[in-house]
Amino acid sequence: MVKSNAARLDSVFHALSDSTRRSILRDITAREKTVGEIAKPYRISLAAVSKHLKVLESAELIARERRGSFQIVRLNPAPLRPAEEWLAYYQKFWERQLDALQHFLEGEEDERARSSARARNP
Amino acid sequence: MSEHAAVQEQETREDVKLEIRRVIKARRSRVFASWTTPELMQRWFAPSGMRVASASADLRIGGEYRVEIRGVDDAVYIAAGVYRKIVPNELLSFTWNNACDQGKETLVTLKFRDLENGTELILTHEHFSSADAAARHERGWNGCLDKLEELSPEAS
Repeated sequence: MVKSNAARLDSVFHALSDSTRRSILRDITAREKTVGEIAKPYRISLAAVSKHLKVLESAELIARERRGSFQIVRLNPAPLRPAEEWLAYYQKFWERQLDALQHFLEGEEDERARSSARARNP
Repeated sequence: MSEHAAVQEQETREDVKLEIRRVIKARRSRVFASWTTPELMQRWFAPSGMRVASASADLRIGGEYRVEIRGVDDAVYIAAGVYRKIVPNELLSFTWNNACDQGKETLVTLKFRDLENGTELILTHEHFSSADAAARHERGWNGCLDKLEELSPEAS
């Protein structure tokens, strides 16, 4: 399915908005796993795991491959990048805003300290 | 349907979240006012090299705020949204709509706490995945990424 960049970013954020799915992604970072191996640590049904995998697949974060009777799941990290960039943008944006706020407020405090010092020692 | 319900139950709704903590050497009431009083917002909200052209804040639940920032070439960047939670001097939560990314509404929450040497401010920005994908346009994101560069002239 061809998706626009915006729709792709949405599906990545949607995929990442669930802790089980994030955990599944972490689990397959080091190496590919079978669906059974992925499901093992979770107290949810195989069907539920399969739903999560479908969401991850639709965000193109994983690729599945059938090998004999096993389904192998592999991480596809590329779509994470725009999401990371988007978060990094906001990180940078807010850091700068807070720098500006801090500068503004602490400048005020310095000014206050100076003027009260002047008042004490005219 | 039942399978779907099963996944729904497992959905923890724990969103992708950005969190930044700062300690500011100023009184808590002053830090809170800096976010909620237009005259004070005017004085710090624009990144260096830019200026706040106008700021308004209707500080009540559902009330709107709007900050218009102008760059040197008069490029306009608008931050706007509505207040969701207001606990004076303690907590402020508001939606964050970039005029450039249509349909995307994220949530910013500020928590203010007294420390010995000032005020602890914790900012979280979340709900990046809350918007309806179908309502979105590609130019939204592209437009924002352009604005991003304009807003961070020294960052690159």
